[in-house]
Formats: sequence, structure tokens, C-alpha cells
Amino acid sequence: MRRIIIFSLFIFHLSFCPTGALAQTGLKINELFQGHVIPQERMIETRVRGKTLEKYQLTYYRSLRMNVTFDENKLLGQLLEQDKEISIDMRSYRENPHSWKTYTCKMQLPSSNGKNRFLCLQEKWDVRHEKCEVTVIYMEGTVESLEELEKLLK
Amino acid sequence: MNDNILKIRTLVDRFFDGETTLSEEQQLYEFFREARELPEDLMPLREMFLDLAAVQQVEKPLPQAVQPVRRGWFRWAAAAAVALLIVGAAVTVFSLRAQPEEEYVAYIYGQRTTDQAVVLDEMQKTMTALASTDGSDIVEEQLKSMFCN
Repeated sequence: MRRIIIFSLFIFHLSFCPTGALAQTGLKINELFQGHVIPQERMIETRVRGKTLEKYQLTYYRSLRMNVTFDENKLLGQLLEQDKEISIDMRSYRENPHSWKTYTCKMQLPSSNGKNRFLCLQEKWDVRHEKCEVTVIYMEGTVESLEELEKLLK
Repeated sequence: MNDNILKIRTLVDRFFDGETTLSEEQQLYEFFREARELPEDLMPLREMFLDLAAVQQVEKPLPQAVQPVRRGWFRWAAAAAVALLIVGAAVTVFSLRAQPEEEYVAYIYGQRTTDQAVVLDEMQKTMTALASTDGSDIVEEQLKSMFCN
């Protein structure tokens, strides 16, 4: 009886969580979104849900922007590599203009609950000052593909 | 504080594996009852542990003389209360989830803001960072810088 009650309450409280809190479930990058890799005091987090996103055919948008150390960036890279393995489409670009080095990776993840999911990461290295700014974006919506999403964002 | 959180996370894991002792369960109940701020991953568990603590109080054996008279009544009452709670909450949750909710939240270096303009501004910054980077654009920009000057 007690186990049934415990299980029921657990399921009930999980269902009460805002869906955004669990949106990245199953992704390694979720560690970052939960603040386990870099403290939340060092990042800018944005969560948007609603009509504003309709023009992008998205229903949920969550981004993190932060400055990271070399070791932290290495750890983020490892998390990203693991998520790449489950992605259904992935494209990445490197740029080396002058004193900046930029790496951008965009991927489409397997859909969940009927929603298409996308994960993007951009590292921007300031070579001169040995600083790295990382932007990570998780998106959900009806937009069909990475290509379509890129068009809508431009 | 961090050590305590780590210990609690370990206890939570052991709890769901059914490995906690009664005193460890009490520690968990006490922690969730008294904690004013919780890490995000522990937040969803707070209400559950508070409810469990309440259920456990209801289930505590009554003094020997009284027990035979009231025990059955308490069990049924507790089970009915929990069942009602679950059904009621499930109906509420599913009806809420059917409607798309609006959410505009940003945490700027730990400071929470729900100012829509600030949130959308930050969203645009991050979106632009990604939208502007494209392999073909780089080639085009490099060619322009080389031949158009």
C-alpha cells in the first residue's frame, strides 16, 4: 500500500512540474541546464513559451549564455558529443576571423511528445584575451527541420 | 550546504531504490520541510516528500489501547484522501496542459526577471548569434572583403 502511494505521489508531482523543466530530459546537455556544470549565477538563462514564438513555429525556447574556462568548455564539448550521437540531423561551422574563433553546432534531436526538438551551441573564443563565450539554445516546436528553422530565424 | 545537498541527492537516489532506513527517510522529510531554497532538480520532489511525511504521520501506530478501534478508519481515510488528491490534481494538470501557457522568464546572473522586454531582448541576442553563422555566409563575406574593397 505504502509503495503504491509513494509511486502515485511521485508520478503526480512529476506531472506537476512545468514541462519546460523537463523538456531537455534524456539529453546530456541537461546537466548544463540544471546548473550542474556551471553555477546559474554565472549565466544568463532565458525561457520563453507562447505566442511570440509562433512566427518561428516554435512552442518553447530556452537559452543559456555564459563565459567559460577552457576546462568547462571541454566538459561542455563532451556533453555535446554525446547528444550528437542521438541527433537525426547535425551541422557545424567554424570561423576564424582575426582575433575570434567561432564554432557553431546545430542539431535536430528525435522528436518527443509530438514536438520536434533542436539544440544549438555556439562557442566564441576571444583569442587575444583567452575568453570563451558559450551560447546554448534548446528549442521545441512544429518546425520540420534545421534548414527550415534557419530560414525562419534569419 | 553543498555537502548537505550532495548527501540529500544520495539519499533521494537511495530512497527511490528502496534502500533508505527509517531514520534516513526522516532526514529527507525534515530537510524538505525546513529547506527554504532548493536546487532546481530537488524542487519537484519537495511536495512529494512533504506529502509522504504527512501520510507517514497518519500511518503512525496509535497507542495499543486505541489501535483496534480506530486503525481501519484511519487507513481508509488516508487512502481516500490520497486517491482524491491524485485524481483532482491529475484533472487540473491535464486541463492546464491542454492550453499553451505564456512564459517569459530570464535569470540574469542569478537574478530572476519576468520583464517581457528584457526576456525577448535576450532571446533575440542568442537567436541572432546562431542565425548569423552559416558556412555559405562566411565564404560570401570573405569574398566580399577580398574583392569589394
